[in-house]
Amino acid sequence: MNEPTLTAEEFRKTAEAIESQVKQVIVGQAELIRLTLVTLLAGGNALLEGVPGLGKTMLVRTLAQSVDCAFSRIQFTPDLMPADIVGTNIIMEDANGIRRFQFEPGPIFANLVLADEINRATPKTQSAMLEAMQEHSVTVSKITHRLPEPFFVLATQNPIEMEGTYPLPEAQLDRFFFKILVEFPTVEELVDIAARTTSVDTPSAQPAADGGKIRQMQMLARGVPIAGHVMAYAAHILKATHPEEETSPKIVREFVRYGASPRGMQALILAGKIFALMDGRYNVAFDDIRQAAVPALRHRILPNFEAQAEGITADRIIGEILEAVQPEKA
Amino acid sequence: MFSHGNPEQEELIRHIRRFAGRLRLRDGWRGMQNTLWAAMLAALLVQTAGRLLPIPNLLAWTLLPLGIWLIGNLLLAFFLPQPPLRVARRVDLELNLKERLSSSLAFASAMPEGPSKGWFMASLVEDLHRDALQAARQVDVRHAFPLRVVRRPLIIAGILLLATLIMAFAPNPMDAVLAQRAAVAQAAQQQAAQIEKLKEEIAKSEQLSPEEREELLKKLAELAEKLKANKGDLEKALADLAKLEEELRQQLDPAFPAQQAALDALLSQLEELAKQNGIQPPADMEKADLLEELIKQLEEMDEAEKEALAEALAQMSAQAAQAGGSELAQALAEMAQAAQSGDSQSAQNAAQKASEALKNAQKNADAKAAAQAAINQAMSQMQAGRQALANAAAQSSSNTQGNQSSQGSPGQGQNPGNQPGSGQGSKADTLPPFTGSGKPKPPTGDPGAQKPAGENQGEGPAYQEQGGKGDELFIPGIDTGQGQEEEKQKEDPLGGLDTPSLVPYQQVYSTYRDAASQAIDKSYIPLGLKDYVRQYFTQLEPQPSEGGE
Repeated sequence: MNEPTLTAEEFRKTAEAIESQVKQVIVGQAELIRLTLVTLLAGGNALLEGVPGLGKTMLVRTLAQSVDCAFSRIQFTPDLMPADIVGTNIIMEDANGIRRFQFEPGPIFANLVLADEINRATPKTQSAMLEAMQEHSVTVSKITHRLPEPFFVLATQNPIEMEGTYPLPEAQLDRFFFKILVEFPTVEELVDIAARTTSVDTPSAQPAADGGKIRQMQMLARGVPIAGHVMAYAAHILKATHPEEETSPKIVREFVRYGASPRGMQALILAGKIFALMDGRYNVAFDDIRQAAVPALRHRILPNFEAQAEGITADRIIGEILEAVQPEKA
Repeated sequence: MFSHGNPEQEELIRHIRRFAGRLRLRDGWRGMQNTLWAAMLAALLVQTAGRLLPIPNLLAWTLLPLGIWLIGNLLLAFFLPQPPLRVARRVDLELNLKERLSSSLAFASAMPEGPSKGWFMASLVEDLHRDALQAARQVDVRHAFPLRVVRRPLIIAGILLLATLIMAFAPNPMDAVLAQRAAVAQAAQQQAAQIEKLKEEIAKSEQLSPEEREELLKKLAELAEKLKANKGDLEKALADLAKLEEELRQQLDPAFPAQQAALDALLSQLEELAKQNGIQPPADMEKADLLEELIKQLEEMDEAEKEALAEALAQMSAQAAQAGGSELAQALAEMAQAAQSGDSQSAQNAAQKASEALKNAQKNADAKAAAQAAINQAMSQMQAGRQALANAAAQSSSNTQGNQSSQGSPGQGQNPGNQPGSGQGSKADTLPPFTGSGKPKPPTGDPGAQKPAGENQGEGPAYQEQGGKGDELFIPGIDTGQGQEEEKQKEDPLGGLDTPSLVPYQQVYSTYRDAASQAIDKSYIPLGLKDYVRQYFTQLEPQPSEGGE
């Protein structure tokens, strides 16, 4: 592995600076900001779930400003076509009157992409978007076009208006590094939001890093050492999400249809490494894994019908898994 | 990065060892406090069991759980394997070091050659080791792992300890049972020794046929082994003795006493007849020879005398038939017939034949009497053994009671088997009163001088001197139905005693009645005799009109 030019201390300071810049614009939502930043530093993509108007777009825009990267927003609608996202070849006529096809990049060609209400687009369009997320490239007319690095998609979906939507299939949900729930602000936060957004001076974020530094941070995060017993602990947690496992908690055996995939394990470990670095450590702790468990696994666990009928959420199931799987047993 | 001989690695290992030692100490201390109650509970249960069941060495059994607890905790504390990685993980968790130590230790050996080489940045691993070492240096083990007193389990253990001590020092009713068992076991050993002596005597004796002697010796040897193996089971010891006694009794010939008596009567009658006819036999002459002497005078007799002699001989013939000597009876009958007819020659021949038959009958009777005496001797030993066992059990029980009772009168610790009515309490090992009239047996050292066994059967207790040492052994009689019975209705229990009573009868009676009730309850008395004992003490109950006498 190539040694990074960035040190762990610089990583922590840079992450703190980015968080600080975003927090100047986004009131409250500390966990949302941190988890979004972790997703960015892990090189993954995040799925935000929350009602409209909670500042999701503002978050991505501010984050883009903080890391000094290109930002684009795609509002997903039922009539949105894949070409509207990835771009298309159009006929161009040069000064000599010669016509030729030229690729016109779509809005996905940005460092930070906000896929707003992704569940409103058709599966075909969703699939094109998710392919780009996975491969960091798009193919148009047999020509592959690389997406700019760092590439980070932040998709949102509205949990209450489900009519006329196309819920993301489990296989595609699995491609999201984190699923982050956007909580409604508290009274104090609402007051602060109103004060900031209804005055003459609107706060804005200043760049605390750039794309190159984000790439270095991503590489450094992957180089953080993690001991075998900590990795085993993450594996135990992941195995415990599967109802067919005898050691799984009762709630899993009763209310889970499918458990998390190995991508969940990857997300746990990678997020744990980033949490460790952000905490100023050079090793991953059990707490880092536990901290990453809920956002990394909540969209990878598929509750069954009984769970939905009894209102048992994936978060609750993960909570009980964390209670059952103690680090001492790893 | 750590490597062999790396001072940083060695320092971290030293810290881990320091933590391990302290953790052992703290775990041992905590484990002992948390588990002491279990040991105390086990001790209390042992004590409780010791009050319900007779447990020998109860104190040792009570201390056993504590010993196990102590040894177990010490073994766990000092010998439970504590690998460095496990210690590091424990320290990480307890001190919230975020897996610094365990991660550093894991990468100390895994990084250089392990499969994970290249997965992680070397610079970050070095940073990890430095960070871990820094964290380890800052740990003060005394403050990090203090030796705290865990109050709740200690309070529970204290309560249990108190209860155990109270139970340990309070009087235990099972002590009497244990003492009784010990006494019974000792008495059984003594009886086994006595039986061994008896065996030696019987082995030397010629009274029994070789087959009978062999069989009797075998049975006695088996009994001795059983008694030696007896650990204080009174019922079993008594049953073993009674069983052999019953087997011996079955070997006795019930008709023999009558035959012996008839033969004796025949001899007496012959002697009387000889005297009537003026025959003075020399001292060394056998009685059987008197028949020939009588016939020699036949020719000098008149008809009346011949008639009388014939009649006497006929009666003797009948007695001989009763004594089981058919040959003798026939010879006597022929003799009587010859005497009546006056045929001297025939009478002479018949007298010779009868004399020989009488001698044979006497010889057989003597041999049989000797054999029966040997069996009786063994039976007497069985009876004495049973009595000794019962006495030992009763005495140990009463002694224990006397020791346990803090307010008992001096006489309360004595044997309840003392004869009521004596008012003296002079012999602690005497039997309950027996209504028969006993006759002392001759010493066993001279079995040939013993009287026929039938004399003692059905009669009262007899004293037998063992080996001429002067030890008196009290032997109850055997009721074979052939002895003489004498019923004494409402006999005055104080009859025959002319010594003044030193203790008021009312007091003596209650003591004896209580002792008898206790003996009945503890099965020292055969079931069939319990009612007799009760009835006996009911009859002894002092009347309101009686004073203290």
